[in-house]
Amino acid sequence: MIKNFFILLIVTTLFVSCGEESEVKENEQLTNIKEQIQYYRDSMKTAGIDHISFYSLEYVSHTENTEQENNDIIKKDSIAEENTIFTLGEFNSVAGDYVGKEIKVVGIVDHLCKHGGKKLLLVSDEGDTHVYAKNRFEDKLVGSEITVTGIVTEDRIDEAYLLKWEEDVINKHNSNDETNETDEN
Amino acid sequence: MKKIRKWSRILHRDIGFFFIGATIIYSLSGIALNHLNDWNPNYTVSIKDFKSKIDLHKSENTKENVLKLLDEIDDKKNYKKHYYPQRNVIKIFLSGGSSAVVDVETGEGQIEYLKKRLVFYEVNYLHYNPQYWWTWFSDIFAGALIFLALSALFIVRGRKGAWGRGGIYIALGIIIPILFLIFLN
Repeated sequence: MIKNFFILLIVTTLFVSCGEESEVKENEQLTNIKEQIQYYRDSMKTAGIDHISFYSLEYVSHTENTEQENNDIIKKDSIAEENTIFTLGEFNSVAGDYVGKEIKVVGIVDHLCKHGGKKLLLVSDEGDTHVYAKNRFEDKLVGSEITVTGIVTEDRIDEAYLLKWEEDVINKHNSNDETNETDEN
Repeated sequence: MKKIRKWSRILHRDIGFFFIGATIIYSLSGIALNHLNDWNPNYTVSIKDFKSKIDLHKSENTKENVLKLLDEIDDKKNYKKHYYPQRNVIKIFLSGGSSAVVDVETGEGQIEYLKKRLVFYEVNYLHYNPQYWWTWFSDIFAGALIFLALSALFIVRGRKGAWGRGGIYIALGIIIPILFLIFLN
């Protein structure tokens, strides 16, 4: 009987401490998101614009680059306009002109989405972009330089988007609070 | 009814045997992926701090210097690529998904070694439907689970069957998810 009581006590303590830890984590997340939202607002205000666009690629295919191929790409780049392979720096400045169109972008795979490997972050010294696919990418791509063929997609962040984001985050946080209170009671 | 009970028992037993492997795959990966925020279910991660005097500022000799650094802290054979996510930070990708990040001003860095988790890596890989034929197999498995649940209703008769004590368990198993839906939604 006493043994059972102690086991129950330990389990309860674990639950309570886990709950406290996750509450702190949630509060931190909420603060971070609020700061992020404010950052977007400030950036738009400073730049005098009503939205910020983020561009990404919908994956079509890719090739892994060797060092020799990289040199060839640069040569081809200057010769054939239609065969242009954009660096990430170029991509970030011209993506707006290619929304819905297929282009090629070269970069290093920084990491894959851990939830299913269907999203990767392509990086270089000049910038980064996300590539989304229907099927999962191979893990071994991480750290490789690849040329991605993909369709440019645009995500716009404007005041309406920020308000909705803010509302969703606060609602989610409040509902978690209620759940925690119910648990405590 | 006798015939239904007989065939339920036979099919429940044989299909149950056949899908023991798939059940373990999905239950193990289910637990692993339920806790994505608490751990990396695919890899064990170990981090090592280091400090180096090798100059890693962006220059013509960067790659050469990166290889020198790798010889100091790991093995230059593992080198894949590098880039500068910030002006004074270099990230070096190593084979197997590992990577090192170094502050080029102070020479202080961290190397993160990734090692595939035995069993978990493989079951998580399958959980995310890696390809067409696995999707078919897992759909059949899901259908079989429904069959196993329904056939279980007919296997045992009497006090311990679905119309007796078993019925209480069935009701509880249905009520609990409903309660979650009511109180968490």
